[in-house]
Amino acid sequence: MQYSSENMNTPINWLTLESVSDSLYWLLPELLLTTLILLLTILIISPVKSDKWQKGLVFFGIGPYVLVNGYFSYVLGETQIQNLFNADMLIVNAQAAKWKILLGLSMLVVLLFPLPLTVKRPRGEYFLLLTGVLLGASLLVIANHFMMVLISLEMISLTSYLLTGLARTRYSAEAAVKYFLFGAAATAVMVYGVSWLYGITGHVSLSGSELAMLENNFYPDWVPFLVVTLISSGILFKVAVAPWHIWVPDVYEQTPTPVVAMFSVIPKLAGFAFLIKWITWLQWPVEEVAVLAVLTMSVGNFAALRQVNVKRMMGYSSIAHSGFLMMALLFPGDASVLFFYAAVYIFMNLGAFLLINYYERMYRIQLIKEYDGFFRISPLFGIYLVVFMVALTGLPPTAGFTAKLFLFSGVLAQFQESGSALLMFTFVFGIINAVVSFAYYVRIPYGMIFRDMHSSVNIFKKYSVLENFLCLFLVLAVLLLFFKPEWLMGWINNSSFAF
Amino acid sequence: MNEMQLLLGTGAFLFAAGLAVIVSKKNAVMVLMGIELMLNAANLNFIVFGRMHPEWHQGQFFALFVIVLAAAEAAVGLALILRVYRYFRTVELDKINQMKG
Repeated sequence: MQYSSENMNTPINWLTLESVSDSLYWLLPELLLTTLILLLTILIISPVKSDKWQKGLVFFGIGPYVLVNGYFSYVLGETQIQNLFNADMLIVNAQAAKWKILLGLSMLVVLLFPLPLTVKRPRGEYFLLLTGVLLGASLLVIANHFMMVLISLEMISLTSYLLTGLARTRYSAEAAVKYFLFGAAATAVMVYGVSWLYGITGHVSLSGSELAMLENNFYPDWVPFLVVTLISSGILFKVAVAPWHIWVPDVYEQTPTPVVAMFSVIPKLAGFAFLIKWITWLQWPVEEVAVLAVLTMSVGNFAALRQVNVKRMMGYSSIAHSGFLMMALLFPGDASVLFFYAAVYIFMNLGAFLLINYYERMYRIQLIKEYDGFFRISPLFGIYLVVFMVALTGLPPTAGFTAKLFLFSGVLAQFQESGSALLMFTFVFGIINAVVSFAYYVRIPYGMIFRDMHSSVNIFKKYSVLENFLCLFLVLAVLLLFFKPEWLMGWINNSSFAF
Repeated sequence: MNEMQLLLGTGAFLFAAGLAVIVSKKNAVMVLMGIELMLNAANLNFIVFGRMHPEWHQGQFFALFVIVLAAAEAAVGLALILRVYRYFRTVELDKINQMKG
């Protein structure tokens, strides 16, 4: 065939013991998680019936995971560890280590969420599956080869399906099957796309310049476009970009809230960390990203307006935020804006879900109108909720505003550079969407403060120290990053975030 | 029409058939079978393209991984479908739709 590549002539580098041990060193965070999974499995099949041990073990596994990544991000600086195991499957660099710190921290917060009673006890499987998601996300961040991408995406997906069906209710089972069928179809489509990428270019890795081969004269013009669409659909499904978002509302409504909080953060951020690599490699036309971004945030925000269930509304809100994160992909050369938005998104979204979990667990409420009048019962939690909702809207004085400011100014700068009218259009639509989102985010705090309580809700004051402290921490983070965004930005930029 | 085109055509047909099954069938197990068809279409493609680019046998390895992946997916999927059957006494997707779409 005419597609013989330069690899034909290079000799295969055989693996030596030394290169394996060197490579394993850079995979230390993932190895930690794998060990954790093995230990958890042993604990689950052991006769110990309490899950205190398992919970402790998870913290002892994920804590070092974050620390090791912190160390790597400090050590690596500008260097890239490219040929792990003499293959180009994984790339470890400071940027990936920072993404993994974010993922690990958000997983630690999610682990502190109290679980609802519908989840079977002892909850060993819950911790095991959460660790599996983190391992998949962690591999996706460093993946540089489509075999790795598929394995890590599947690791995230399969554990997510099981987590969705964890609660012992019929709705939970229904949501799990729906999620599974949509997700498995998306994976199958992606695998088929990857097979064509392999066929056309002879490679399935993201290093090198195989892109040029995608656009040769041997195939008709629409073939590369189709291949890219098929492959992207698998990833865009996971990060809930319209029109691949249809699974979100049902799954978010019926899954245990801690799991939903995890869904809205970890697979999404890992997906975006990979998407920015993929888009940089593709040199994807700005137009398509802009159209997807506008479509996603409009669908999310306008559908959220008429929701009555809080978790369903937060599902649409997370779709809308996917749209904003897509906007950050309009300037893929500089990932720091995406990273900043992602970090702030973690704080505000996990905070909001923590409060939703609190009200659901304590007072068994899920509808927006049931939140009416709760401010008088627990003013502190009311104030927290106001802060998180204001942050999600993107208003000062919260970090949500700073993140959106960086995002919009980045788009404007890109517009001035290229002069593409579509970028201006995206900018305007972003502003409109931010205004629209205010209408539904503010509904919960408004009802809480200004309306009277529904008589159907049993009123008694409950207090939870853990949730109180966790919320306080997240609120402080959201407020602090508004006044001192340079703290986070400085840390982001101390290693190169450009490609 | 040479051998390769025939095989790629078969792959494309399998993929299209799988997609058609997913879209048209209402039984959850049938939908799962459609997904398997799509994955096998990709497998066939990988094997065919593996002959075209023989360097590192990437195509063959990819096909092996996809087989494992499909097995794992079927295991998880059937477990979830069994759970739904226990609650609803049916696997017809129209009848297990209690949430508003």
